[in-house]
Amino acid sequence: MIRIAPLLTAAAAAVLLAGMMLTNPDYNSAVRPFETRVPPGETGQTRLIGGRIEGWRTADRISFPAFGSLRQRDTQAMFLIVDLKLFGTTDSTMLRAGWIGASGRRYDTTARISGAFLQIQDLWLQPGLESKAIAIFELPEDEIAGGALMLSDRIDAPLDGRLRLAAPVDAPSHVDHLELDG
Amino acid sequence: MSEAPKPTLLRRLWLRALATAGVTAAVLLSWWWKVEDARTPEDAPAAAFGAALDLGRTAFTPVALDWHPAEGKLVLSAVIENRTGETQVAVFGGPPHPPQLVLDGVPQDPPQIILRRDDEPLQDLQPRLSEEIALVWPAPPDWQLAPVRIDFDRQAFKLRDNLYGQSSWLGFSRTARLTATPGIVP
Repeated sequence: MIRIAPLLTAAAAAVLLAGMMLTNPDYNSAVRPFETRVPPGETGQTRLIGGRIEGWRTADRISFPAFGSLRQRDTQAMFLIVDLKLFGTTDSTMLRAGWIGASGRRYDTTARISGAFLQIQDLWLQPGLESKAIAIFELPEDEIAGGALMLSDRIDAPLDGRLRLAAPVDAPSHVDHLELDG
Repeated sequence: MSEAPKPTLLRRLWLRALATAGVTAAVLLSWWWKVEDARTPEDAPAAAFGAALDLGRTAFTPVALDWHPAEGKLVLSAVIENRTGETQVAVFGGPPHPPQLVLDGVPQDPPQIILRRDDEPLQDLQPRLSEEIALVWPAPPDWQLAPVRIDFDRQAFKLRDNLYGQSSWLGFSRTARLTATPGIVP
């Protein structure tokens, strides 16, 4: 009897430790920005930024002026263009936008349209001022419906705020060729 | 009926020592087999045109190797696909380990990486979208056409890496070696 007590204590400790290890969330799940989910068409706000989706459209080709000449970009998939209205709260902020596709993959704004006007990655958001911006993504068509726009400040720091704007209810309009201003 | 003789202390110790040594040897042997499995092979396997290579974040399929004598450059055409769940800026890992060209035993500078679709430098790679790219190396002025070697490195990924269970991209290891004679493009 004297020997069974410590054995039982050790077994109970092992079971407790195993339970803790199995249920402990991994680092990436535990240390991340606080996400605010925003329903379609509504405005959301975090500590530094706020905004809503004004509209969305898709295109097979995009042309835009850059360095005095017209550039054209095509894709084997599809370009998704999301129109946004944004505002800052307390600090001037640069932004980062990503599209969380239907599969859960994250598509950042494409760097292939560099030079087109009003792109979100070029915007300095100022406190108290509303700004219009577009976010352009290159992604397979089946990632669009059921996706969401993830909006954060450029650093997207853990334990800060992040907006998850749900996609509009209506299907996006489609054009073969979209011309953007530079 | 007489009682069985009790084993001596020396015999009991000997048997226990033998059992302990056996268990220790089994543990050490299995540990060493794991170490052997994890060791990087000294001779990387040969790569072939048309066969995909796992470089960690991307799958890289060499398509053709061409020598442009008029421009003095070697061009490796390839198809690359993002294997991760997010847009990749570091398509050849971080810090970047692009394929390394070795001419006459001398490693060359990193190549320029061109997205064929735009004929401009590749800046990022979206998930599920494979792209045709070209890796361009300027050849030394006195270089003559000969078989060349291109080494490929793979970056390791660990889902739960450290005390905190954080996922991490870790070190690089040589994953394949392509040896080929470039085709001439006039």
